[in-house]
This record gives sequence, C-alpha cells and structure tokens, in this order.
Amino acid sequence: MIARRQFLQSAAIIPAVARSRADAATSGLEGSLARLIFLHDAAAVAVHSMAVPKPLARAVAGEVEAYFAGSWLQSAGSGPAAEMAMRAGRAALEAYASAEPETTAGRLAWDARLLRELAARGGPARREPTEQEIAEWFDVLSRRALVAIHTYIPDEADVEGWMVRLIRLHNAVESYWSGLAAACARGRATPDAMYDPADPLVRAAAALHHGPLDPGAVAEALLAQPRCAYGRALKQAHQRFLAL
Amino acid sequence: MSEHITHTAVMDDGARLAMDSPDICADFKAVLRDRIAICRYTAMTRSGDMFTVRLLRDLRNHWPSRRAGDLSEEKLAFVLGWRCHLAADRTFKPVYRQLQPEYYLKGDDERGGASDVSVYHDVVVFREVYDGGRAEPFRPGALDYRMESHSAFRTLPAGAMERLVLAFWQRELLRIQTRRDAAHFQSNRIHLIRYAQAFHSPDPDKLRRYIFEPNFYNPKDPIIVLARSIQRGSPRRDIDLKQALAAAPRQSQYAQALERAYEYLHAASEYFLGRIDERELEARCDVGKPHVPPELDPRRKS
Repeated sequence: MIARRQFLQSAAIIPAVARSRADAATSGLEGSLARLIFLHDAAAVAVHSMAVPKPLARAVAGEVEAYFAGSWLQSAGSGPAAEMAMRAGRAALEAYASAEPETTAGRLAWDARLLRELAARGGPARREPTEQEIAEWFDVLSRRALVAIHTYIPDEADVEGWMVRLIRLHNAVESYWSGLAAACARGRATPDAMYDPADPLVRAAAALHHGPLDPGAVAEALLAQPRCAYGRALKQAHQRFLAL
Repeated sequence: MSEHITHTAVMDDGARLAMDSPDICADFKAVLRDRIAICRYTAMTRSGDMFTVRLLRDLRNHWPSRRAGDLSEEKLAFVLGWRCHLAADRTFKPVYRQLQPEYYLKGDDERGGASDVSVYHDVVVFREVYDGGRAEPFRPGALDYRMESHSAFRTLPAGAMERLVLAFWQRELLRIQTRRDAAHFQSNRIHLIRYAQAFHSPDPDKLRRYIFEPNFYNPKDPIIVLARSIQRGSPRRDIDLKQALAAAPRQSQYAQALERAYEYLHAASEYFLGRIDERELEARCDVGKPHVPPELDPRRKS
C-alpha cells in the first residue's frame, strides 16, 4: 500500500493521455474472446514448433499471464522470460489483426463462432446448450476468475476515475456475455474463408490442446497452404515468433 | 490471498442487516437494494482505508445535486462495498495469521497463494450463506473441479474457457488502469482445485483446526440467524438487531465480521446524514488502525 503523500504526488503527475486511454478501455469488448482463443492456439503452435527457439517456447508456456496480457502490459516486470512472453503475445495479435472483422456486430458473431468451434473440438455434443446456459456459464467462469485473482488493485493515481471505469467495465462485461450467449445460440457456421476446422494448422493447434502431437506433424502443418484467414493468421504469428 | 467468497458474504449479510434496520438512511437502503451487484464486486477491493472516507465526503456534498446518469448511486454502492471489505479484513486477517503464520511471514502471502484457512473459510461460507451455489450471486459449479455440476458441462469447453475467461478479466482490469505495469496486473493467486477439494472432499483435520475449534461460523448466533432469515424473505422479528449486534463480539468469527460491517455502514450512514463528523466516522470505521495487531505482524515484531 502506498502512503497518502505518495498517493497525492502520483495523482498529480498522471498523464492525461493515460487517463483518456484508460477511460476508453471499457468500450469495445466485442472480439475479446476470439482474440484470446487465437492467442491460445498460437501459443500451442509456438510451444510445439521445432523452429521456435527453446527460450521463447519455454517463456510462452511458462509465463502464460504475461503472454495473454502482452498487448496491454507496459512491462512484465518479473524477469526476461515474462518480457519475452509479453512480446510474443503482442506479436501474435499483430498477426491476428488481419483476420478480425471490422464491425462490432461482426466481432461479436466471430467471438460466438470461435467459441462454438472450440466446443466442437471436444467432439460432437449430445445436445446444443441454450442461450441461458451459455450466459450462466460465463457468469460462473467470471466468478471463478474473480475468486482466483482476489483482490482488485485500485488505481491509486486516479481512484475516482478507476471507480467509474470499474463500474462501466462490469456493466459492459455483463452485456458482452449476454450478447455472446445470444449469438452463440443462433447456430454453428459452416467452414468458409474465415475459419475452416480442416485447415492444417487450425487442426494441429486444436489437436495440441488435447495431447502431444508428433513435432513433424506440426512442422508439416506449418508448411501447408492455409485454407482460411484464421489459419493464415496462425502461420503469420508463428513467423513473427521466429523474428523475436 | 483469496477470501473472495467470505468478503462477498460479509457485504451481502451486512447489506441485509442494514436494509432491515431502522437506523440506516433511506438513500443507503435504496443503493444496497438496487446496486448490490456493485457492492459485491467492490467488496473485493483492497486499500479502502485510503480512499473511502474522502469519496464518501465528496458523494455527500454532491448528493443533493445528483442527476440521473451521473453514477452517484453506483459510486455510493462502490464505497459501501469497499468499506465492508475492510470489515472482513479486520476480522479475518489476524485469524489467518494466528492459524497459519507460515503464509504471512512478510505480512502477506509468501507461499505463492492463499492459506488453507482462507480457502476453508470461503468454502464454509459458500455452503452456509450461498447454499452451495444455489443462492445469488453464485451458481452451481462455481467450486467444482471443472464446473461439472453445471448443466452445460458436457456441451461447452470448461478447461480452455477457464484459462481464457481468467485472461479476459486480467486484460480488462489492466486496461482500466492508468499504469499498465506488473504492479497493477491481477495475477492468478490460487488454483481452484484447492477450492474444489475443500468443498467436495474436505479434510477433517483442517475443518477441525480452521473452522470448528476457532468457532468460525455458528449458524445459531442471533446475528447470523437474523441475516439468514432476511435472506430467505422472512425476517425473524423475535430477534432484536441491537441485542444481536451487542452479543456478536463474543460469538463466532463470522458474527464478529457482520457486527463490524454493520457498524461501518451505520457510521457511514450517520456521517451521510450529517449526524457525526469525519473524525468520528474515521474512529468508528477504524480508519488508520492496522488490520493486523503488531504481535501477529512479522514486519512489526522487534
């Protein structure tokens, strides 16, 4: 905890740009889940690719939090592996940008589609989840996440602004989960130029989450021609990892 | 550290007692009734002593000129939840240090996670206050190994989504900070398997040491009986709130936390109405007093 005097000093020097950037953060959640699913897949490929240098593969596997938060973290602060994972997370999302729909509605539908694709990787379901079940699912997952990170760290430099942003964030998340549940319950899309589960690299990434894969098979998938934008972005993310 | 569920419950029960009391102002009751979701999540916010009194003063000054949409009610809910967080901290932080000092050698969690005693507190509260996930804001599956008691367990991906939703919250909570550095990053403090084990297969020895012998929760304590009866929608009118509050400091640890939460809310209400000044508010809310007595704080031991 910082002392009251330190708090007053830090509040006085907070740059306006940092506050306006933080204020803008509670809008535009659509697309968030898809980005994370992509990061998850890109990490699986990186960790199991023979081409990716071992220190980077180990950093991505071991510093998962820094990797996922890479695009927002200014510095990981806990050593070179965390810094490397943070840079890898940023690089992966730069590669992903071309696969992301431009409109808010498009990004929400894309979130829903990738969530359904993620579910389908576990095998065919005996029945479809209802919209209410999906919304509740996110609610329980959120509660579990909050149990895991307890307690909230306030923004000492701008506590009133942070309070408003946290209120808006919770409202925005509630609305996001509910919109996502509705979009997800509308049904599964067929393979197209955006996403195709038969794309070699998409298939390899999916398989890697369910168990080890022959490194040769990963290398082969990386050499194959992508069939969809998602697969192409995965391949580009891998290339960016090699350049780090 | 964790204790998320215990903090939420102290807020929820504190709000129930306050809403049932004739001594709490109408504006507070309206906020506790209509904005309880905000109170609940701010009940998991640290560093409250540093900010809540100043924020309450600003809200009190602004209140007569508040306008629809200016978030005044939401901000008041935020401050009330934040104060209840402190009621739980001031009750339980010394308890954790007495029962498992090895986790708090540097004044905070040192062994990379929550102590067993804090996990067992949360699990008992989850069962007693939230009916094992059947009472708001919790749901069945919340403390499962992989949410297997949720109706959608076999149709939605649990393992991957757990990781991704955690990352989602970590990213978004970082985004609302003006300083997006490691010091403001919300790390994963505990693997939920420990919660699932404690909930589904509790260790009898840990229950004895952390729950029963220290008298953590006694459902027969009048303040707890009253809170549960309000929760069920049929308040026990044969229990006098003031008498129950007066008896609570000699009863279970959870009863003590409720007494403290109510006292903080009551003092804040009195201040909001202009009946006490800021100095008295701070004294009644224990502002500035250490959460942990010096004899239990390794940093202050000579």
